[in-house]
Amino acid sequence: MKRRSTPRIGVKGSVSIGALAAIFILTVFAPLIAPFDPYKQSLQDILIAPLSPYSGSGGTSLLGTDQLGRDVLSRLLYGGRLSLWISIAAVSISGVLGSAIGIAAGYFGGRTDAVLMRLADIQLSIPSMLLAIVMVAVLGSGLTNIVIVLAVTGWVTFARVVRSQVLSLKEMEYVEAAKAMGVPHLTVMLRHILPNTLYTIATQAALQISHMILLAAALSFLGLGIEVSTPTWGGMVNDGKSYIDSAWWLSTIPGLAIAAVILSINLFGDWLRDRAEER
Amino acid sequence: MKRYLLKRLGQALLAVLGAATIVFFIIRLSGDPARLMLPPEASEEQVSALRESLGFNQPLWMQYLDYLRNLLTGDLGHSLYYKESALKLVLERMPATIDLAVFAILIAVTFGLLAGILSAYKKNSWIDYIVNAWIFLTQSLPVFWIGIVLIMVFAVRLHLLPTSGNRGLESIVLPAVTLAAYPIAPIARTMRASLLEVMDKGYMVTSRAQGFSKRRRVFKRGLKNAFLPVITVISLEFGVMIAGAVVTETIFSWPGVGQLIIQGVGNRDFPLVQASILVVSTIYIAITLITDLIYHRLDPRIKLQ
Repeated sequence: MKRRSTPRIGVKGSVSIGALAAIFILTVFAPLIAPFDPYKQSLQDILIAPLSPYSGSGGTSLLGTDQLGRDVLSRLLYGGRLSLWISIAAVSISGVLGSAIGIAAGYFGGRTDAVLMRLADIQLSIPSMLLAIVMVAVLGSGLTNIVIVLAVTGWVTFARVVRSQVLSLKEMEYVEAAKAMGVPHLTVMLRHILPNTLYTIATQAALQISHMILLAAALSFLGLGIEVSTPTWGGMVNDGKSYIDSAWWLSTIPGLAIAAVILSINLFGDWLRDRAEER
Repeated sequence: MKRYLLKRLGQALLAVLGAATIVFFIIRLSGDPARLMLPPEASEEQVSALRESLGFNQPLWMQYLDYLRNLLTGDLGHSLYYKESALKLVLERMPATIDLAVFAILIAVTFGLLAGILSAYKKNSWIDYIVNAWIFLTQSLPVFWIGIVLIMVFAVRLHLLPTSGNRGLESIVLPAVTLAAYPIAPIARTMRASLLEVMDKGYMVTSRAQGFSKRRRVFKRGLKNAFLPVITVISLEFGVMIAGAVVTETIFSWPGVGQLIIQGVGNRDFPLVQASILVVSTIYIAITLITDLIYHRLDPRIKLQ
């Protein structure tokens, strides 16, 4: 049926991959690209509108300044770096953990499956937002703690999705054959099961990254994120909340940045899913 | 039906017990919960007095058993800040949260169903594309940002609606729209997918062959059969709304349970936070249970896995 061996990337793929690459470069190289120091306060430049001269360091402030005279564009780039890093770290941890649990539950079935999935159900009985809030409140709000909290709230999704796929994979003949030949369980899981779940895991990871960015931003917005002076997108929206009648750009711009990233990731996830279905 | 009901009820009770257990252990994760609940400048005597009065000096398993015993008698502890029964405080705030969620779900259902039915009825038309783009867009916008932009436009610029608080019908509009913005998408998507699936069913093809008009087929037969999955999504989203109103309530200073939780965290009032989370989780579990029972009632083929 398929005429080409290499699948087409298509509009969805090229737009989302292009946008993500651009976001990645902009945030990773923030220290090189950012026009000003994101922490530098400047009293004579408080709440200046976008595209105004920035007297503190000379030059133009493209996206305006905040209530302490810090350049919004520079904070946006540094903040994006942190927001992306946090969510990627959290998704990596929860992805590895959740997928391992999902594979084990699906492969062994029986009591192992029952115990692991009951555990997942129990965690789902507390809405993830509330779970995150109470964990941050107890553990404190450092960078590491935020990553841990997000990872804990995220593993269940991976475990469930991977498990349901493993349930059908383990009935495959090549898995039966490997088992019959006496290949150890761990090897079967790693060599024959895991590679076939990678597409599912990747799609799920893309969706989870956008979910985690939103959750992390919501936590910062509620004042439960990382220290207040560190730029994060959610924190920036929160800072701007007190100035909505005088400085619209403070809350609007970081919110749009979050939306752009999430939109690109969701588009990418959609494209991955389409490709998985084609296979 | 009875067997299903009992089994499902058992599962729900287990989930409530699980939620209670998770909260119990999270509060103790820091190692010294008494220290956690007092301001940093509290003296060692104050800390040990609180430890004594809340029983944190007892062995963990005894604390856990006491905790469960108290839960069974409806005692969810006392608020450290308000010096009142935590359960009473939570229940006082509950009506505001429920009002908000009911208002928001009505908005989400109206727009979600309308969008879903239209886009399925006019599949691949411009309406369908707009609905799809809308779904994609709303899923990418952070809730708190939607809230702030709504305040900026409708309260600050146009002076049409109040920015915050709970004073009459006017003040519920912005928070309800904010809370409804996200669930419109899953409701519309499920409605569209379900209606399209039903349209392909044999009985629909038959009624087409019988010469019924498209409008009649869709609205008289299609919708009735397509509603089932949509009902599930709606009631699950309602549960999520009650639980997820934390952010919306904070933006609009809406005096509900979500705001109580955030204030509780700020005041280190963990008994109150614990009670709030337990009550909200229980409602959330109950809504899931009711959803399953309705679904089972409407479609008895559904079995427990």
